[in-house]
Amino acid sequence: MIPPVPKLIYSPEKPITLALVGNPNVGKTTLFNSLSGLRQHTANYPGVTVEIKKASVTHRGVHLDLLDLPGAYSLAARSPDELIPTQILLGLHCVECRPDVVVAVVDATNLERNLYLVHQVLEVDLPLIICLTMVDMAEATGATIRLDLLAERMGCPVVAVHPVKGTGIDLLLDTILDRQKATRPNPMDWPPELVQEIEKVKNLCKPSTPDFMIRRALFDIDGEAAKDLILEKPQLAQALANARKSLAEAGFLLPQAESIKRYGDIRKRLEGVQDLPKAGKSRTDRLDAWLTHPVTGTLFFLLAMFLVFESVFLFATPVMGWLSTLHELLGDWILATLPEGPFTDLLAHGIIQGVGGVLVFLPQICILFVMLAILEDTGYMARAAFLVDHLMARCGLSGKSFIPLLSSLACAVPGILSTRVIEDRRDRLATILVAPLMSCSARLPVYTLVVAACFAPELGHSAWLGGVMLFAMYMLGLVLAPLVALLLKRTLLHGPAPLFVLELPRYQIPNWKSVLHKVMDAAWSFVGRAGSTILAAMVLIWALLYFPATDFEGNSYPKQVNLLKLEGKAEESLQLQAKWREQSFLGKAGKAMEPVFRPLGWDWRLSVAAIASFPAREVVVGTLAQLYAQEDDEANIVKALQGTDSPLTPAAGLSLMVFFALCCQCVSTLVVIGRETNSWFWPLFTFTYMTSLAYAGAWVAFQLGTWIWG
Amino acid sequence: MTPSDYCSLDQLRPGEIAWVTHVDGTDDLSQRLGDLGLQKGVEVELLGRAPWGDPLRLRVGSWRLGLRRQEAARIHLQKSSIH
Repeated sequence: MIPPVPKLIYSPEKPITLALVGNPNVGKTTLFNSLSGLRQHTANYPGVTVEIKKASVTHRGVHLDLLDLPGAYSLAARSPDELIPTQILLGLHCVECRPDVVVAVVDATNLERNLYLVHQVLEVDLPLIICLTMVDMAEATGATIRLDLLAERMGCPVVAVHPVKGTGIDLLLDTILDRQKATRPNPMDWPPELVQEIEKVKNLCKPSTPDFMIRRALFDIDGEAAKDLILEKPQLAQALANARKSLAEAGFLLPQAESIKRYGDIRKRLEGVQDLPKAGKSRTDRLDAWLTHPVTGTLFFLLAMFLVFESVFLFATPVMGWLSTLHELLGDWILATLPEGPFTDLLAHGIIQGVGGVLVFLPQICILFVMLAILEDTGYMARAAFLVDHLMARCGLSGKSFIPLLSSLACAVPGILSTRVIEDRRDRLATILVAPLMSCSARLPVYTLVVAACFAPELGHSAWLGGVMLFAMYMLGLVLAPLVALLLKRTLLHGPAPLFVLELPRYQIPNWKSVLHKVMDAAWSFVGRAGSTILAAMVLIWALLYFPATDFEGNSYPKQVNLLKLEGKAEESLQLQAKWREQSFLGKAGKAMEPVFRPLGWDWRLSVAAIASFPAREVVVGTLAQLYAQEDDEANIVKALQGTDSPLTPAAGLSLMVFFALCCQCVSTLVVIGRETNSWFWPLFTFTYMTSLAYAGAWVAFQLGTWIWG
Repeated sequence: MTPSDYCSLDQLRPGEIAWVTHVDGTDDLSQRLGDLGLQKGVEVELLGRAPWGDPLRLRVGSWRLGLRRQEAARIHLQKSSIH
């Protein structure tokens, strides 16, 4: 048994840093969320390229800093990103932020494979606590696990936790406080041949190099740890090769020897710890027989994707109506209360209309993220990757690119960030470059506006046409992204095919807290963008549309418009307002650009809106509102666009939608591409190719639309 | 024991159970497969195939894995239990 450790007194000044490690799909993120709470502020770990979430919590008066390290099956590192968890655990990245204690999250239904990573972590010389999840599921299959025996064998405390229900969380936190300076866990003794070779290599390294790094450098042939050490001492390349050779002669053939040794030791440690029932067909297997079947699985896949987008369209509409009314009332109140002038106009038309017009689409984004979170939390996301892998492989990608591309349906920014899971650099780059082709939530406002204005049932179209149009716009990205990726992989990013290993996790009922967490994350990041980039763009566009506010004779437009309104001449006032917009800076620029966009069926107003939406696509709705709307709400924009003198014929509407489906009018995406690829060439490349594609696509769409609707 | 007792993972029929004898190669892939526990003596079952017959859906011990045929071809099996 582990000797009892005396209780320690902690100073509130120095928080305990706690690192969470674990395989993917073991509930690590859910545990992190349960520990940090819904209202807790989370931030990304500074200075590293992989996403590592940080949060601070207080337990019994002690401050804890949590680090959520990326999910992995092993600490073996083939890329700089994969080495980061090892560097953090060893304190190589930054000495003072080295964790004080490691919590290894382990899936109780799959102890052997989960303990492989733990077995490696035993060697980083940090106090360790094993946090066992899914114990109830293991027990449901008839398995029994002796926690006390597991703790004894691994040399560290074991706590069973249900991150979803929240049971065991307090016990885990108490254990962290009690055991912070617990005895080191007991790692395996390596065979003497290996110890001897490690010593030889160690003599060539800097004295501060941890043994664990040397072992990784030796085990991972052409791995990142070796590259790091060789960079410091070039003679190590030969030394490592020699060491591997003499180990192979001693029957220790790398790289398999590491896993054979470790799994052998794990099996020995697990003897008597768990009582496993005979493996039979599980509920997941029975479901998978249908859901991954070439016919029924494909049908279900298409149905699931279609339902996701129809539900966004159906459920968000009423909520949008309420929000729209609210923001209309606010605008009216400002115009009625504040004195007339450019400032009031800026507030009512620039700011309220701009931000309000974007916030109105928050319900759609939330519903889309609910759907994506459910797909992920049920385990279906991996099946989707499995089903489409062959198709993606034909385009030079893997099923793994599917999840980042699917995330890009919500927003390309998190989608591009999530490409970090793709190990192969060329695959990752290809995925990043095509991710903005996926129809993100910011395009949804454009689609819904055009659909409402051109394809509404009131205009004599079938009620289902709106949904079909929306589905078609999403399909456009879904079809073109792989094709462009194929082209890129055949030309700019040519190289050998990478590996594909995909775990198919157990199907689970999604937990509402976890879904809520993901939705809130997404919503806040969208609002954050709406608040900064979009607001700035909207104010600029408002100014370009407001000024000059006087006609040739020096009469003020706003005054004249108001006068006509007061006289009850609504129609004349609207006409004058349109004339004012036409005379504005932006109106003139749009008119100058009109010939460029004429082949797409656009008039100057659509051209202005398209140009003005460069910072962010969603701006187009607000711009159209300013160009057409008399009052600042969407119903009026739609009404104005439905009017007989509207330039937005069904064909022009279709071409506008296709343009926005394919263009890269999003500063945030371009900035993220620049940061992730560490170059300015790729964002420029993305913008150029996408704009060309958008122009060509919109031209084809206009021809097609003219042929269908005349 | 006959030669037909041996095959590679991509040649397994759905529902068939076999045991790993060895994994070819000393590269990245063989290390990753080893880290996941695909090594001598481990029980695998072919559960199904994706559309177009690729990738394969496998049971490895008590968990489920999707693996491409090309990579599965490097995992060698024995159809009668080693144990």
